[in-house]
Amino acid sequence: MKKMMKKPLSRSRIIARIKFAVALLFTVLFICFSLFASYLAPYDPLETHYDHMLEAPSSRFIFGTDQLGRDIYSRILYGGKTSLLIAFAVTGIVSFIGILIGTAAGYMGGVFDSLLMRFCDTLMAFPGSIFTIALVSFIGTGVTNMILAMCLTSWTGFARTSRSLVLSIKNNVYIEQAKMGGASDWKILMVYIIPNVLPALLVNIFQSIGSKLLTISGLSLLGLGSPPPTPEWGFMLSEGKNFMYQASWMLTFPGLIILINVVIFNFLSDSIQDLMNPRESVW
Amino acid sequence: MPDNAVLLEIKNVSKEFPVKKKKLYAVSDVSFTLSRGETLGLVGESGCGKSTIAKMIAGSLPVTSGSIKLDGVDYTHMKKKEFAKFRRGIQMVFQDPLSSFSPRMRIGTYLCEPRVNYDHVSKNEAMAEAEELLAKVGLPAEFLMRYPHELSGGQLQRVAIARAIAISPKILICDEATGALDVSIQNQIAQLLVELVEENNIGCLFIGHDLALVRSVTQRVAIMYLGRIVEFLDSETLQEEYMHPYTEALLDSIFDVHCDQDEDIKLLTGEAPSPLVVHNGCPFAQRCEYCTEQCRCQLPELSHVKGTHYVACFNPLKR
Amino acid sequence: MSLLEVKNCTIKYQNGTSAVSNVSFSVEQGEIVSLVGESGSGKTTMIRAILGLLPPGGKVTEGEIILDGRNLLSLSEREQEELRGKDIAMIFQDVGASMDPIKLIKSQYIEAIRTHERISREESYDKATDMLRRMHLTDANRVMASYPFELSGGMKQRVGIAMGMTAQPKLLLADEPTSALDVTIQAQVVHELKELRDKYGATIILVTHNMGVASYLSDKIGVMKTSRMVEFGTRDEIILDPKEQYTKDLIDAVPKMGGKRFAR
Repeated sequence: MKKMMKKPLSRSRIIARIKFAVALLFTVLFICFSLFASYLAPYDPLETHYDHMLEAPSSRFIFGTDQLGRDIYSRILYGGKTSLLIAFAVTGIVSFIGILIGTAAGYMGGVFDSLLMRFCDTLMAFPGSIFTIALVSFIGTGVTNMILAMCLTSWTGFARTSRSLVLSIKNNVYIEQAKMGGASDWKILMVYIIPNVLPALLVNIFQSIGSKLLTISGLSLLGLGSPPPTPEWGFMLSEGKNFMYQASWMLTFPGLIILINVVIFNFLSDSIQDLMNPRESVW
Repeated sequence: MPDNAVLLEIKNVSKEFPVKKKKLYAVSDVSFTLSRGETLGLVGESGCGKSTIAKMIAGSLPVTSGSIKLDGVDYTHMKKKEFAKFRRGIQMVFQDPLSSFSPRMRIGTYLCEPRVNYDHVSKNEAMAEAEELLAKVGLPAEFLMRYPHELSGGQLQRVAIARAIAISPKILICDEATGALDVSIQNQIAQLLVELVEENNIGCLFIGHDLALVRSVTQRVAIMYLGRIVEFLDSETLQEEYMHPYTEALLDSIFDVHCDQDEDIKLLTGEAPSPLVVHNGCPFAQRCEYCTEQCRCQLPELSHVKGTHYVACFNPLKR
Repeated sequence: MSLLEVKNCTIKYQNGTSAVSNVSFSVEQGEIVSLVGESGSGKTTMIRAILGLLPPGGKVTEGEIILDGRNLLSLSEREQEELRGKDIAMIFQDVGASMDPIKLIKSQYIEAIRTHERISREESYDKATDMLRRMHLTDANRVMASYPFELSGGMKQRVGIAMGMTAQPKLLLADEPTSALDVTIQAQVVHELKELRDKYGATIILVTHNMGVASYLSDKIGVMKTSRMVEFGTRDEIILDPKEQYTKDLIDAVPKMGGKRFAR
């Protein structure tokens, strides 16, 4: 990256960089909050305060308490760990598998490619979230099952995008050159193709983290996510909706936090897209 | 092996592409040979099949019929694995310098690739060789750490040539290798190619559309029209000895810097016919001013004139 | 008075680099003037500035461009738009790319005529076919009923020239109009350009890197190198008696049929 920046930066370029820096800062901040929840949280997320049930936000419980008197602020901090972890895990697995399959299909072409893409089409024909819900109810609830279900339903997107990216560079002369230089198919895939499609996929990867956060919350809201006592944002929403009129904070804060997180990850992917503006870079 | 031994032998090679229900005749019945230390020019307009021939020789396109032999070995139907080793003998330099390079690969890595892949030498060893290669094509060693977009077109083309000769191939194919460059750079690259071909005693196929440039770097020139070779000429005496009307048209189309402005251009009417249609007669008949009835219904064969001069025409220009 | 006068023109891009520095030249009525030079020498930027269509970030920072007594740089956006196509027309290197791929030539051509002239569709059609025939596209009706992809490169280029010339602009700008073409087709297009000047008195600025074409067509030639005009003069002055070393080198570098050979 640095090598390309020899020319003086244009204004749009500087703005893109600032945007990226801000987005990155917030992302790191939120990840740190969740990682260090045990140091930052004033209370144990499972600790119940029976004398402070459904208490409005105060100096003692800054986001208020829930129906069992648990501190919502602490639960949100701890919940972030679960939600972000699942989102990262799913995105990681899905992008790895999707990119590998997609690039291989695009590069090899032929029957393998057609078969795989038809399979992808079939999977994609089902509405994503409904398919996930159906899968979870079929294989059972719990964190692992949730991850499994989400992976099964969402790798197709990555496979599709990376395949089309590969098709766009596959006929470049440098692939031909690589073959003449004696590179094996595996090497061409790993050294010539993936490094050239990955930057464009970064945008999708970060966007996916945001959307996975939403899916996780959605599943938990329906009670298909992590089992009850575990603090989890979606599950907190689900509990909160029962007390919507008495304790609006039970809904407000977890909802707000999900919103902020999704916005941040979308903002991050957006800023990466700006950074890779094709007019100013070689990709 | 004696110096003038035949290195590459192409015999009756044809290539057809299926287009919907028709066939596109890209190359029809082309034969020629190439010796060590020799540079053969292949000249023609876009779509005449010259790049298709290059791809078939390089093995990236299968032939429809005919044989291509390198050092006596026909490799047109070789197994993929066997060919992977065989293809080191044939290297190619392409027209567009920037797209021949992976944008995210440093020049050094790019230069190491062939040696590492074919001969399994260590990266360090290959890197040391890469430095020598750069020196050979007149570039400084610090280019090893650069990325392609930091180099100019001419520099990239030098690097591409360096890589092609890294594994001492038997044949170098230059497909419009100087076409995208400015004229002054074009000459430098042409000069470099000629030197390398002589120095390494390899065979070179130089493909281009600029007859004047191709003539300046080759010993022999083949003129192609609509998938066929219509004339073989000695580069040295090309201008005096050409006999095919199409060669004449190509020569007439060159604008000399010192031309006479009041002289009218001799124009070739019309455009090349579609390669989708089968022609019974001479492919050039429709645009030829000397065309006769025979030309329209019979295909002229390449016939020997003298020395290395061959022409495929019923009414060759009288000399 | 010259038809077009470019005085001390400097064009800068956003990052401060000059694409054109202090360039002056003039074009008389009925002349072909060529700007030659290697890629990146600023010749295309120069004629884009005359057309008033610099790429984003580009700006004429100094100098004047005067067409028929009007300073083009002081015109409003609207006036410039009116000027383009009516007084100044441009042909690009790849006319095909500047055409709408899903519209018939007919509708594109008629639309182009009717944006500048208030005449009926039928009149426009006749005008267009007449212009195409002048460009030696004898089968004008078939060309009009074709899509761009159905025409060959040479035909598209001629359609582009015809479209540019229909409004009888005072000045025709041609940016590498023959570079993407095969040599025999290039000769045909060069022939059309020459005829435009000889028969119809068109004034043309030709940007090209082909010294041979410039030498054949031009009345005057400007040689550009790294944003500067190193030499400007009549065709004979530049070709037969170049003063600058750069011009000499440029002329020598052109491969010639009788020229020296590298190979033995």
